[in-house]
Amino acid sequence: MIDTKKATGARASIAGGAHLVGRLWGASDAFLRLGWRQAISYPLGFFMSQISNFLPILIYFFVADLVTPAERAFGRDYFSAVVIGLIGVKLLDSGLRGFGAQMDVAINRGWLEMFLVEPVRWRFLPIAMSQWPNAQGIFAVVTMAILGVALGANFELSGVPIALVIGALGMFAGLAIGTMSAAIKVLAKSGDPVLMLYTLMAQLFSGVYFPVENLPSGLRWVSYLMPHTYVIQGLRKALLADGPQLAGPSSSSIVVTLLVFSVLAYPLAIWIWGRALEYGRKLGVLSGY
Amino acid sequence: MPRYNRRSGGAGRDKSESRELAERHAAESARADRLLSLEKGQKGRRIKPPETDALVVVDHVSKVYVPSPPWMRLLLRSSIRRPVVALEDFSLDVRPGQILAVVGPNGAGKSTLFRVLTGLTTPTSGRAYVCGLDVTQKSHEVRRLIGFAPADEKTLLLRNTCRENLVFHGQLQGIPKRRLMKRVNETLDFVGLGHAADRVGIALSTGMKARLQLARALLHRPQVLILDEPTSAVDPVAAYELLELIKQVVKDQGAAALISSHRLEEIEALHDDVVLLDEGLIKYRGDLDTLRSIWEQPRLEITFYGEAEALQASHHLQRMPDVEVEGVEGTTLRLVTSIGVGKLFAQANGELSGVQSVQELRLPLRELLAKILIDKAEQPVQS
Repeated sequence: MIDTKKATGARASIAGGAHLVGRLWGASDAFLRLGWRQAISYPLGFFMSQISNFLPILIYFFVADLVTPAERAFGRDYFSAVVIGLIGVKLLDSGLRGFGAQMDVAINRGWLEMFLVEPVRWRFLPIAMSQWPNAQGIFAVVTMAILGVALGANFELSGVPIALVIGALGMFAGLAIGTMSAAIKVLAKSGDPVLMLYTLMAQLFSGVYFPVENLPSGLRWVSYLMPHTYVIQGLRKALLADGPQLAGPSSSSIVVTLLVFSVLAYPLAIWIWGRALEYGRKLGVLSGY
Repeated sequence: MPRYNRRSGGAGRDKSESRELAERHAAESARADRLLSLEKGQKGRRIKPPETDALVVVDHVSKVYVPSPPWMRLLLRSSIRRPVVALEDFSLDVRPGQILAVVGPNGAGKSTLFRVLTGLTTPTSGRAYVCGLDVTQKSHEVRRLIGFAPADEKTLLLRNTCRENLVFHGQLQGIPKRRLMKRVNETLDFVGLGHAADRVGIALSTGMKARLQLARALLHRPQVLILDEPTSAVDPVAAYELLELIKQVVKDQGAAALISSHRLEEIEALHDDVVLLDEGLIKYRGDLDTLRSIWEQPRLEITFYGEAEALQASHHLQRMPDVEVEGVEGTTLRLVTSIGVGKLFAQANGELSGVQSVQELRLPLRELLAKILIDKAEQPVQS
């Protein structure tokens, strides 16, 4: 016999969930279009920002001729390894900085007050507002990879699916950290001291330009606290010809680590973001930037 | 030799000013402390929403802005050094079809009231409700019911077209796409921007931007309109047209509207209730005619057939209580009295002869409000 009460309740919760997803989708779409419209309002600036993504690839194309890395560290192909490192950083940065950057734009142009008065659940804002920077980041990564291949980088096509999973998880992990940082920004109104410190540490410790194993053994643990390290190592293992032989955890354990990090960090970040907004409401600092 | 003081012109005056300032700060701190203690008492208490048909209810709301805690000052210097009372024990209600004008000098608490209602800040004590929903606890739901137009036109997406502005807002409002475009076009037509739908915000005139702000506030057919100085930057004709639109919406949709404005002649034209705020307190709530009857002493202009009659009447009236003769100019005599024309002539016992005409002069609203706010100590507070 069917319990009609339970069935009705289940249908209501499915409908409620679908409604929430619909609202999140609508808000994301709105912010994606807004980002695109703003970007093309300044065509030369937009074009130059895309071009600037190519510069590090070109620099390391020439630097690679001077570097003979140890086989255990980066494999035999330093240029391909650095291209992957740069791609990993770009992916993480769009998750990490995207929301904060959009917040900066909203604060500077006087939009934030209106966004907060709109009936969008405040916990949706980090995902919705980072849609445009994420789209831009993905576009930049694809073009960087194409340029890298054109300049002689070699990627294993069989590793692309796992690389996509690692990349997506990396962006999500980045968004979690970026949201925590934005929680400070919404109270402090500008500046991004937490993210500034994190980005500096990531440049040094995550193995973008040199293997983590080159760091003093007493400092290596710092590397493994950052999702950057896992994403870059995971992408290299998946995409380099001799990736599976590289030092560090296996691709599957990297996926699990990033998944666990995201599952724990994102709800925590949203909770912190919500608390920051509530605290801002109490202090009365959510408007008048 | 006294120390040269460029600002005050003397050390003695400087000292008395400092003392006065210290006393004001002490009084302000005591007021803030009292209101902050109410916050502690209110924590965790569930209060039943009031049973009323009013769409907006503000129930004994106080708001005290406190300086940022020390840890936050590492990130940002606090803009205030001591607690500031923005609203104190503020109550009002706005019913369907009503437009309530909120008037007061800068810093009176108008923006804080709007921030409380839009969920941008929480009251220190008291409760506010929109359509029966507590604005603090049900902020998300309340934001669906409110159409808000801030004073600053910068909140518009100036690089986007009028249509894009409304589509963006409609998407955030959750209006289904199949209905959204129709609603956007209808709203743009309603505010008179149908012909400029594809023009970017930056290319609009100030009046058109004000209309676009109004269109954004109206798009989702809100039950409550909160309009912060909607006509501040536009010319008188555009302001008149905007106010007519607002009046039409309120009438047709049975919505309630709260409008703040510094343009008092517009408030007078709304023919509805007004709340006069000063230093976070309600100085007056009601219609403007009652406000005038309480605060305004009628000024009369009496014209005589001859100068001699005017001078004679002046001598006689100066001896009467409740009459203040302002002066005689030719055959015209001006006076201020609280007793009304009929009583004045009755008490004059026929001494006012040769009267050609009597005219009651109304004080401009601007002067009346300034008088109320400046003569704080001399008049009773109305609420």
